[in-house]
Amino acid sequence: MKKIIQVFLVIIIPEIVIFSLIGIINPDKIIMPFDNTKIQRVVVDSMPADHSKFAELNKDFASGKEVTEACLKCHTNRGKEFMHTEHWKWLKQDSLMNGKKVILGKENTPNNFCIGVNSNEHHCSECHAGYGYGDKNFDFTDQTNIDCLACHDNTGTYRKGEDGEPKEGLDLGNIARNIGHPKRENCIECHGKGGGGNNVKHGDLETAQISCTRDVDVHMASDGVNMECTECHKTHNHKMTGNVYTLTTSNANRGSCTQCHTAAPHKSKILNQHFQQIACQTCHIPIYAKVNPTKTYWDWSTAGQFDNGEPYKEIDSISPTSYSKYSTGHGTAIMESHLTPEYVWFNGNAKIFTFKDKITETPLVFNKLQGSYDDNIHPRDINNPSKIYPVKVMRGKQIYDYNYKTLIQPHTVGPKGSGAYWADFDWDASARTGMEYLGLPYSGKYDFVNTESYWILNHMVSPKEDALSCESCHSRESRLANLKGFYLPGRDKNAALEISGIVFLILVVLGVAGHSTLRILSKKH
Amino acid sequence: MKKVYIYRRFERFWHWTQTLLILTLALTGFEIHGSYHLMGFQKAVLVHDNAAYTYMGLILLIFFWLFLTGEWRQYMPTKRHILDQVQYYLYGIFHNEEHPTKKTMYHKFNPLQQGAYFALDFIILPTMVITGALYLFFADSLKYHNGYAIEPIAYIHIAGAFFLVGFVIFHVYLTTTGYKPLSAIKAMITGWEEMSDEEAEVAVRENIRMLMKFSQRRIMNAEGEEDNSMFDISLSEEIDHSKAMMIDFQKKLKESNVGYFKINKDGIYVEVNDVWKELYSKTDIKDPIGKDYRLNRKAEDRKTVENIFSQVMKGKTITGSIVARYNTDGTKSYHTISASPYYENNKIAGMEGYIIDKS
Repeated sequence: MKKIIQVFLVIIIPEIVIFSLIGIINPDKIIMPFDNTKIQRVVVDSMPADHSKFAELNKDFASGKEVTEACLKCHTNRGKEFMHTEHWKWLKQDSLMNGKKVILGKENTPNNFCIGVNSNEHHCSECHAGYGYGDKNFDFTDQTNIDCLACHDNTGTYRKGEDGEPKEGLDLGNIARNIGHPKRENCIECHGKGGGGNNVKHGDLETAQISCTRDVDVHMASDGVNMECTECHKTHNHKMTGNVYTLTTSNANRGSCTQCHTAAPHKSKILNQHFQQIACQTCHIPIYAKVNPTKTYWDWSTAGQFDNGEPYKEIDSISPTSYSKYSTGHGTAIMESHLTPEYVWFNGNAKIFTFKDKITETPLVFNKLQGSYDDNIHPRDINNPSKIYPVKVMRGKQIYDYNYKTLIQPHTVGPKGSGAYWADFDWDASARTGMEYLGLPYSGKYDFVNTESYWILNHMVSPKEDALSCESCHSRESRLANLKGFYLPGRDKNAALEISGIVFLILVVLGVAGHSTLRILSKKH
Repeated sequence: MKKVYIYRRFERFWHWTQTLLILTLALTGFEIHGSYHLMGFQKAVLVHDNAAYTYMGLILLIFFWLFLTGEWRQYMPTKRHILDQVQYYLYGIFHNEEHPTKKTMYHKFNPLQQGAYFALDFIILPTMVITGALYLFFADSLKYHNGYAIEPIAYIHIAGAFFLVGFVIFHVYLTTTGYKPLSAIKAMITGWEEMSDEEAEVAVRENIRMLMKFSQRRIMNAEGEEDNSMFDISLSEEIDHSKAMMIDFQKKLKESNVGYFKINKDGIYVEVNDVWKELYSKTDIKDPIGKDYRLNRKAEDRKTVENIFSQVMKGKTITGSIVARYNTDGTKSYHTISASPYYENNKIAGMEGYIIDKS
């Protein structure tokens, strides 16, 4: 009895105490974490005046330009102000990492969706904040060409058509009398439909977010905080915060989660330490294209096939969440939803490929996102170390000049006989017309090249319960499998060490088994 | 079969805490390494960290204790008997041979164990602690050639983990090679190890010698010569043992199958324990208290005990002398006797000692 009590006192009770503490104590827990409810929402002033009472607006308007003229009568300086913005110019000045200034924009930068706007403005300008941008002769100095309504319509009825003009049959008077601060649907009308359809381009920005649940996007959720785009993309004098890194080279004017959330928002120290290496988006956007599919692949090289001499379209299901579609004008594309992002190191800088650059490697990457593990540990810019970001990678195959090794701007939009590919289906004529329009040489010999573009995912943030768990990266099936050059616990192993270790343990077990068998046998004799 | 006290309280506490910590660390560590999914990476990391901090604390405590008590000497590797021990595990154990080395409180490990524990305590565990600490605190800042040191650090840590798992398997298996398969494990729980009578006697005698040595700081054999030969392996300088440990140990000895007696300077018994009475139960002496120490001994033995008594009263310690008991049925039994003086006010106040049955 005394012995049992002693064993209890010396071994059992201390072990229970020690291991309960080991199991229960959580040194990782932050006692006073950041309180999300204390975030100050951007307070948007109510409209200072009721525009429906303005005599200037109480009439019917025959064109968009007439509406703009009415706007500018009161808002006398806003026009000039707006004409400095990218929404108007489709160009901006940016700087490279070596300090060199560059001018970038849709004007001079190709992509791997519809390739480029030059010679195709007639159609592309449906998303230009202006009226009459049908070709390169558009007057960028005439402020009455500004389209105020695209962003400020609050009726939800405004739509743009060819050359950026309002669609036929709109009640422009009613729209003008009901303007206000931009709403989600104003922004999404263009930014959600880039690349030729809803969610085609970004994958994380689409019409579903005009009215969605928290599962789709915690920020834009109608059943949640219901934020407007401009709450994050803060705007002063029509100049907006935020970049798209397919047209941006420098780490400037970026929007960031820490505008509202702190740099240490978690209840766990270890998770907060991850802030040094991991962008918030990486864990908090576990999937994208949650509602409608996005385009992940566009092969222009298969275009130009006919069915009984006629152009045709075809859709084939690949899986419950993906399908391929073919059309004679566009070639083959793959649309996918519920996608897992890919991951890259990124420090806010990118190298952008323009129509003047030579192709030196395939796949050709339009926007090489800069960053590495090394740049995280010893960053060039101490305040902006490389972090791991989630991206949608758009892959494509498109026309290039075989001799000059440059990308070709094909002419796609136009009537029959104009050389427009979607009318004539002739790559050579399309290339010749497009390059001539752009003022760049075309050798006459073309081929198709594999291309990639990287779209950083910032929207469709999931509720915190759906954020990635540790195992998403710290496991053999790591999402970061493609990010090499650093040791990631749980993901990485040394094959030689692993095999030696297992062989060693097998030998130990065999040794023990053999020895004990011999002992038992020798006892029996 | 007899039981001998081998493992002190702190040793048992430390051993089992260490056991559970190593198992916890291995279980969570290999989960963190990605070998399997069990409690989830996050929980595994938290538990691994907690267990690691606890283990670091325990290791400090153990090393403190080892160096304070001089017990570290038991871990110093020796070549003595190492081949005998190898031969035993490879051959003798299958042929019912005896262990070539005996286990005592002061000499717990055979030479192979000494080597293994030395490697464990002074090479593998420090490696694990150092790499673990580097991993915890400097994972991203240490450079190594062209890469980051986290990778080689992690792999050294993992290699150590494989070694430790192998060690645990061997260790658990070898506990079954004691007197009975579970003897060693029971001993590590209760402190008392089951042994054959012969082994127990050796162990108890060793323990008594050590006790005598601590109190006397020197040892003499029955002939009155100094005898340090048995302790030069590891314990010859063992002189600063704490008093508290001695008292504890003395108690344990009395609880063993060892007779204890205390005789004052006038040669009168003042105390004997139950084992003593048990051993003498077949003689006509039932209660020696108040009687002369010579009791019923015949001439030859009388001379031996008188010699022992006079030597001890001069301050010497006597071990291993053989003395006979005369049973009422006419037979004789023998026991070994070890004795040393006890002190009151820094003066020798009498003789106390232990007897172990030899019959």
